[in-house]
Amino acid sequence: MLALLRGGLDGAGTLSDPEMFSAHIEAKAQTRSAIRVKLTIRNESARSLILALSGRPAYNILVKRPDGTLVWEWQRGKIIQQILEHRHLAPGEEVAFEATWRYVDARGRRVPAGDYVIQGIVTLEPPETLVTNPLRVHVPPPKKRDHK
Amino acid sequence: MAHTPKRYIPVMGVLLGVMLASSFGTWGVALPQRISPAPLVEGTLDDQLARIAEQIPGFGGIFLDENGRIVVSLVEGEITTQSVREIGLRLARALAWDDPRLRAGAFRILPARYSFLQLKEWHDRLFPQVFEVEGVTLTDIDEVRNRLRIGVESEESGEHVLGALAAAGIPREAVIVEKVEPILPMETLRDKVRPLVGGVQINFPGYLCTYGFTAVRSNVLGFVTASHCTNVQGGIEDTPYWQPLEALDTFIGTEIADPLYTWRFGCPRGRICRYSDSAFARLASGVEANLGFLARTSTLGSLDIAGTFRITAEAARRLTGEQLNKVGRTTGWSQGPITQTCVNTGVTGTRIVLLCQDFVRATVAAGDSGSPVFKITNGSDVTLYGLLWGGNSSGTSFVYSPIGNIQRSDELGSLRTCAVGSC
Repeated sequence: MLALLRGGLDGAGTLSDPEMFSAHIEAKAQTRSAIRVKLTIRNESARSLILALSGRPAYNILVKRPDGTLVWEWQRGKIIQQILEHRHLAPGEEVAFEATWRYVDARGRRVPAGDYVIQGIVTLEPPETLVTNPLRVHVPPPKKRDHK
Repeated sequence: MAHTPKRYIPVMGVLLGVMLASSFGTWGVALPQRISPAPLVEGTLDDQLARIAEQIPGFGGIFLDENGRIVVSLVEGEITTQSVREIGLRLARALAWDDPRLRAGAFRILPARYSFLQLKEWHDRLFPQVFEVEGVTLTDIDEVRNRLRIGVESEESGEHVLGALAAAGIPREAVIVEKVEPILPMETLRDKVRPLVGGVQINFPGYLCTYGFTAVRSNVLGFVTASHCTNVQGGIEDTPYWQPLEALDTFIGTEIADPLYTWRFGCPRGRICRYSDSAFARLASGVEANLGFLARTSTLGSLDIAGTFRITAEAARRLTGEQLNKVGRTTGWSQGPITQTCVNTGVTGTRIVLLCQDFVRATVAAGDSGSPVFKITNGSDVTLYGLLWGGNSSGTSFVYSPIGNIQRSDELGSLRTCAVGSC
């Protein structure tokens, strides 16, 4: 469920070890024109932890083809407020983000029908990140009027 | 060994290297084959030099002079049995320093007044008690000057040290007592820094940002940081600030100005706008802040504070291509060109549009919000350009609110930001 990318930064001060958290992505709703996904981070430990959330918003969603080619990135072209949050999470407590992919590529064109992989990334104290499980989705063919 | 002129550092490095190597048990590995290993002994570098002095009567010290030549100081009259070559071989062995000049006896001999053993005995008699004298900052056996050296912060401290010397029976002429700057640990942008300067870490409930710059607004001394570095972006909630983190003695001020984001002429329909992402906080009573000064780190990308930048002007214009800088708590000092000016910029995840902002191609990361943005004009003198608030997700480009926007009458209004007497 959890894939963790860790950078080389040690001594994160009072921040908790990223390995104490899990990151998960799931489809919340899917239509012929878009999919809404929910990214959840959970404190998997038995004690209260501090999670560093880097930037506002502190998450990103990547859509790739099954071969790994990047198709779309939620944060691409966006300006992020450069604030660093230290959020306390009780044991089992979660923090969630949602985002919508309208089946478009980086240039805004509708992608061909087929299988895609969606992955969420949560940016922690730089350069640490939490990466979710890959979510496999099937993009349906567009309705005829969507083709215009 | 606290005072070491730069030209003598290499040999000290060798000696320290020897010490470290001995601590980790690699003495035999580091030793050149032609020099048989000296016994592995724990101790300070001074202890090691004292042991050499036991083998070489009259040995006063060893160092490299300004030309890189080896200099050995010896008390005249005490060398009776050893040739210069023998002394060189003993030194090479004791220091595990296989320098052909030592083996050949090709070094300069300097007459010394005191042997290292004598200096060490006096030093041990003084240390650590002399540190009980208020204002003593260092003690040292100075090999170059062949004296004990005691650093003090003031003449008064020096007088007390002289009294301690007399009580210990140490000849006055064997000791150099001199005024030195106190040795301070290197501060970083994330440490407690007083007086406050721009670019250091600040904390408000749950978040970290950067202290932009000290300013006077309507005769109130305070500081400017980003509007989104308040409890609620836009509007006044009396956000409390600490530097660097919340603690009993780190409270620095309270938010008192953060204009609301509203629709106004030029603002897209359905959105709310301002010309700057800035807020002003009143400085707490008793907190020292330097008006017109920003932290300067040792190098680009470093977080270690090595000095200050002085604000001597505010930017009256901005041009694409100008080389700007910022100092922030996460990525430190970064530098790059303005790539776009006067960009109406939507803020991700909000209805906010910031009007007429500038983009700079330079490193940024979360926590840098509030960083001062400036142009270096002459040495450490800088012109203040604005306040950083945003950046792209890859951290290669930042966005700032120009200082002219920040001081509009519908923003924070007029501010005094320059160092006293500079503009």
